[in-house]
Amino acid sequence: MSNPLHPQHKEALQQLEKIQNSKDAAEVFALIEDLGQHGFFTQPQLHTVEAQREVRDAIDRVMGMDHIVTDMDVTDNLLRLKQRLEKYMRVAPVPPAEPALGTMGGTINAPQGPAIFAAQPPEPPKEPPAEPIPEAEPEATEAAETASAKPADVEKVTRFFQNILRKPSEFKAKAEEIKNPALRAVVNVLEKEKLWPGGHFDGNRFDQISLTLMEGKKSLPVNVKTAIAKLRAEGIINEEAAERKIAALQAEIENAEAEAKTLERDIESLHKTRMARRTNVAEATDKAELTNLSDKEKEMRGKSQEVLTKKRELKILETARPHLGAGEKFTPQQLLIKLLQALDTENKTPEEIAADAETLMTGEEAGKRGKKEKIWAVLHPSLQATLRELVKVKGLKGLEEKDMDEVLKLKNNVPGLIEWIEERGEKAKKEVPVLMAYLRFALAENTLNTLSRGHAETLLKNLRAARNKIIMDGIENNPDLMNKKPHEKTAAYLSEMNAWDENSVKVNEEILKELVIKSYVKKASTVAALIGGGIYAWPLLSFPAIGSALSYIGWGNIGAGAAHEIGRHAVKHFFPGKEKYYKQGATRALGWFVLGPIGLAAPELMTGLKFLFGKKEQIAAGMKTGAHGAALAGKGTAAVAKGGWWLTKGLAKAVSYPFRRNKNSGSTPSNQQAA
Amino acid sequence: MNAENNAAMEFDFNAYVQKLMAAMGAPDAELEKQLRRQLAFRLTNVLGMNLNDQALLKAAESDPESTDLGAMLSRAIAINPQVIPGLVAELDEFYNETLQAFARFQS
Repeated sequence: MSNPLHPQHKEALQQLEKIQNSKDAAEVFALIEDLGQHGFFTQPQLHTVEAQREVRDAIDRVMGMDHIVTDMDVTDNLLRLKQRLEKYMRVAPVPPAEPALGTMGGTINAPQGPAIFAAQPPEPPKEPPAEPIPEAEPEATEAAETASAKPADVEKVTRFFQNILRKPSEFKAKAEEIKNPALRAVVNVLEKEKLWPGGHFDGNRFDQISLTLMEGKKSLPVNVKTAIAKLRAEGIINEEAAERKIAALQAEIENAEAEAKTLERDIESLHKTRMARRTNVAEATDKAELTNLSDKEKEMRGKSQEVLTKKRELKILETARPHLGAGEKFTPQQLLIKLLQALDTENKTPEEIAADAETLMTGEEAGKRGKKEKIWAVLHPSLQATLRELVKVKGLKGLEEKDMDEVLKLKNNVPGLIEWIEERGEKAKKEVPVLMAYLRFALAENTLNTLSRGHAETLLKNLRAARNKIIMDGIENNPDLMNKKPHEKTAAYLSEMNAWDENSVKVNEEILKELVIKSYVKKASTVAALIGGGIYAWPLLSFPAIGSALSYIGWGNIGAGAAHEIGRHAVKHFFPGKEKYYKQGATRALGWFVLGPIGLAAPELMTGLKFLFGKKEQIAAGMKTGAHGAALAGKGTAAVAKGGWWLTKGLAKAVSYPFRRNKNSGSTPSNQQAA
Repeated sequence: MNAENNAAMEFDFNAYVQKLMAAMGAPDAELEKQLRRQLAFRLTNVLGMNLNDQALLKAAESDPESTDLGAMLSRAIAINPQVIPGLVAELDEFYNETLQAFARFQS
């Protein structure tokens, strides 16, 4: 029995043909989604590898279109589909031809469907392995060194960068495995193939990053991006070339303006001539004159329109000019230098930063991973992660993680934010100040990376703008205020804003309390660690601690006799002449383990309490103090560790003494005693 | 200390509020009260976002009982003049925003 053309095959085939012929990304996207509905990505028995390749090629083709390259959303969706398809192509078993009934194989009655869906001989997928982050393999280096890279390499490295951009955490995990030659080769191949930067999805991402770093801009307006893409399509890839283009455009505008002026004068003159004429002219002449006048007026309108259009274009070009070529100019190393400059907190010289970049590019020096991780962190906006963290750790009241995702998407869109706030109804009055307070908190903590900081500032600014607009509309539409004077309305407007901000202050108070409580918890954990450590260290501490304690409560002799003396005598007996180590170790251990943390914690606790119950104006200061207290609690913990270190060191010295003596002088303490 | 810094050091909070009130041509106690409250919120936010721990503590602690925001701002500026651009921007923005709102309510 032959494989009949399944109805789904028919539909999928039609879809595929449409995809092949379509030049519209949105349509392609919809068609591919339809294919997905037909199980194209999940039912291997329906489709061949070749068909899947057709779809993938169609996606590539559409993604390469000029107007699509700059549209991040469409490109993003298409890329996701492509990845899904490729993942499927890598893992899906290729279906064998369906065996005919009564035969041992499928060769006699092989399926007879259309060529594209006809059963193919099993064909192993040619794509690279599932997780395409390249290892430090020699072929990557070779690929870079050869005059032209193989398409497979290009695909591999493209995916490599997609992985960096899309899965930075996974990349970080694998970063150790990536040796320099491979990374360098990847970058070289990307450059050679002009995949990075410019004209490609990843290039755009990198362009955005480099532009953000260079210009300190949060994002470029869509029309500027389009202008940049257009200029690049014309081969204008640097500022100088753009300058020439702008000069040419200005000349064209001047010419068009001059022509429009001439036409205007001609028209005026014609009008005057006709007005001044006292005698009638022949009908034909009159008609010819009117036609001429009409033509000139039409031409003048055309010229005026041309001037307007060119001026608009000029304005966009002038805006785009400073941004043009930022991505093009940067080699990967230069981009790294820019990143390092943005991350630099040590005021390094350009030479030092260049050396750091070289180190990171080559990765030869150990111990630089911290900075490397920061670089990848900059490549991926982490504000979302930060806010999610705030939701989890600090608990944004009334707001959930999904709300954070939603609001972040709207960060550049004030009308969208207005809608978002309005949808939340009355509770927005509490939630928005909460969100704003936490955004400010995140900014004040200075833990956000460059991009995230920009996003947080944008979101904060636009949230405020949206809030103000909502309040203003509310005042205008409030019937009770209809007949009030403008300054009374303004007072009501400010009063409403103050009411919102009052909630923000409440949040600040909560943050403060939370911090102080956390500070207590940290200090309590230090004390708990101390007690726990004390229990574990009891055998070691018992002699001096019991001795000291009993001495303090007046049982000095018993203490000395029962514990301290036992310890001292034990040391004296086994390690003669080294009692001072015992004393030092005991005293320091007691000091560091007990008095240090308490001494450190007490003043900070007092300050925290003072601000906790203090005035609102002091809240911000209290927050800072709480954080400071937490930091000191950390120091307390370090002190415990240090105490442990001293104790261990003292004991180690004491214990190792006989052996050291033996090694240095050839005699042991017991030998000495015997002598 | 440069000219801008000096100007900011001499910042007179009351004069600023009075100028804004005069621009609206409305000597109104309620309006002034709300203006001052909103300004206090905004400016303390700027301080919180721009000053480090120690500077903020100093600005607040040196006169903890004082409710004079102008005095606190002057102290903050004296401690760290880098806060000036943020404060100036916020003051300008508030000035313009308020007048725009007033103009809209007038129409």
